[in-house]
Amino acid sequence: MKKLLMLIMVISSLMFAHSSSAQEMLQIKGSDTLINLVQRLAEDYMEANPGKYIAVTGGGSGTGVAALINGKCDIANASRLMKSKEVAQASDNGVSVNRVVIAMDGLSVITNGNSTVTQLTVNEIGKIFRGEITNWSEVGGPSMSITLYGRQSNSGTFVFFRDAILKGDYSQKMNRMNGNAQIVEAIKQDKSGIGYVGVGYVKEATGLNVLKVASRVGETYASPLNSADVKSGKYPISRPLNQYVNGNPTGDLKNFLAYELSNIGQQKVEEEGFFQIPVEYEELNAKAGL
Amino acid sequence: MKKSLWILVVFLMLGFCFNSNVYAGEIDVLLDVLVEQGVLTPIKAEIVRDETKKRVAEELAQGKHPNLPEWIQTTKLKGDLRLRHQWSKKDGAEDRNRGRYRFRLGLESNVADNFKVAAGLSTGGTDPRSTNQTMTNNFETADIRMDYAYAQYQPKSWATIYGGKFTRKPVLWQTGDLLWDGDINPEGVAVALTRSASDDVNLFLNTGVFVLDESSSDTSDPVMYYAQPGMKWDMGDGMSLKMAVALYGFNSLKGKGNLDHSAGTNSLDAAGNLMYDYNTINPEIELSIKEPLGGLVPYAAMFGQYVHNPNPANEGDGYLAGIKFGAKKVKKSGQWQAKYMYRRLEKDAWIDAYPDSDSYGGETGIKGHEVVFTYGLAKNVTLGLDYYYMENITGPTIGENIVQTDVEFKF
Repeated sequence: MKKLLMLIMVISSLMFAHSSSAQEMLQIKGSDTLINLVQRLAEDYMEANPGKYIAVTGGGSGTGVAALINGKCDIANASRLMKSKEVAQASDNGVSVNRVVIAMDGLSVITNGNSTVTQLTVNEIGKIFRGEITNWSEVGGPSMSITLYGRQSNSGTFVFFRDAILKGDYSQKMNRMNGNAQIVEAIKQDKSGIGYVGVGYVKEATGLNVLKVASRVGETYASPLNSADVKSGKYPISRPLNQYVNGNPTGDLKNFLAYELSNIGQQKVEEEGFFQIPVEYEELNAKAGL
Repeated sequence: MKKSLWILVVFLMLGFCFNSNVYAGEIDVLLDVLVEQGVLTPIKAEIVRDETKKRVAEELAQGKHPNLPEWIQTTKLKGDLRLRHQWSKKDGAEDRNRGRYRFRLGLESNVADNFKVAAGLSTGGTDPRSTNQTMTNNFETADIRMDYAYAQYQPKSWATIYGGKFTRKPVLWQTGDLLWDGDINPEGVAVALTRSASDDVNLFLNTGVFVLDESSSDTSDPVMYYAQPGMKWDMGDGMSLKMAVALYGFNSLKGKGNLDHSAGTNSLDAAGNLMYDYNTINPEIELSIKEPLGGLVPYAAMFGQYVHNPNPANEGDGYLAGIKFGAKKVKKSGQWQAKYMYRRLEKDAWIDAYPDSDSYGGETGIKGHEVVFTYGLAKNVTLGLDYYYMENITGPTIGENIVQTDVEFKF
């Protein structure tokens, strides 16, 4: 037993000391809201640049950020901002995070196409998802219990919506779905349902109401389908869609990010249902050399 | 006021903020005012807010914040207070009620790049398996002892070396307390290595030498050495599998008397010395799932540990199997976690000085059930209920019931 123990200790130490081989493929991981868009961008980029390889996987913004912190990906897709704790962890690991914004999203609150409720204030949405408003009649609809559909906790959309709109905890009764597409399908089937998804998932969808939202009573109700309202922030649940990288990007990584931000890349952003970035984020991206 | 003047005010105020110990909330208020005045667009305000937060987080992590003393930035303080009522009853004996408390205070400081020092104080006596202080002796003042004190060196991102009296979790992974009571902080040297095998698989190796005793009159002091290779596999859909096999070896144990703080249940020879070696093998496994059953609970896990001592012909095995669900960690109000474990630890499966001291006094040769429920009363305040039913494996059955009601405060 003692010899076996010593042998395992020595072999394992040698195995761990061995350096890993250099990555030849760009690894992108994270947000499920961004996955379709970034997969499309990656495919088009690879087609235009033979010999370049990019792997895009989901798992949620938290998964992508954790992978970047631990040096397991080149780009973390995130539909929320990195938390202070995550920035500190990255710094501890020698990772200097840089944020690049590649698209704008009007996070859309949706109901079944047969619903008579077409607009809500941020306060009303918060109360509904916190479980304080439980019947559609309380917001001008029919007497019918409200069924909640949201995302799982590793989702950046889950975190963004909670922090920006709920400012509290979700109702325990909310159905936690794996992705945007599952929420859209559930709401189509459920006349009592309400959910939130990235605008890219509702632009072409049928059988849904995409609600207009106002910051507060008395303010103008704006739609996430209106590009100008999302870009200006007039639509109160607009948000940037981010990619985090380690340091200022160079080489293939820089080339791919530059492609995403180019006119062609931004055109594809629109085609996938999201919105091009406004000038403020262009200035932010320029700080990262893009 | 002209826009340019507003901009001047903004930068002066932001400059003031960065040079003072200002809270993020105050910057938020300022930015909101500037957006309302039309000085900043909402997007520009969001960028400034995020960059400020990032800059402060990085400066604090690196100990470079200009307006805080360096030692504050490089030193973390933590602690907890647990208040407990414990009821216990062993078959054939009177029941017993005890008020107990535990206070722990620890600090960790980055002394240089890649070097850390940590130390912790705790209530309790010399028993390494308990940090409880029983309320007794007419308000007698309690002892505070050195719970741990160690140095940590991380030469590479994948390698960390520990020396001194250190906490066990970073150097030896266990899914339960079948073999190691949670209060035991071993002494010696240990190394923790970790490496990515692929995007989804992490390998790790824990290894080290623990000093068990030292005698001026005996050159063959007992030590324990171990290696624990393992892996964690992120299987997708929120599922992960972690497993490891620990191999333990001991020097100078067999043929000598019981170690200090022994429960006295391992087999002894006619001279009163330990009859067997305890060079054991200990596999561990845990399957965890995020938000199973459509998100009905946020987290669930099944776990198990096994130990085999090949030296004795009989009574050389032990295992623990358990399930837990609810919050992964109870940190906030309203969160909860329920856990159930069954254990069986035969007489000579493991050294009788290390198992969970609440399971039949930390003896070997026992089996039984444990149910734990933890509920968050407020942020960092939990209520815990822990029920044990344990009994001896051989001889006439004598069962023991323990109910512990805890309120724990962490800071």
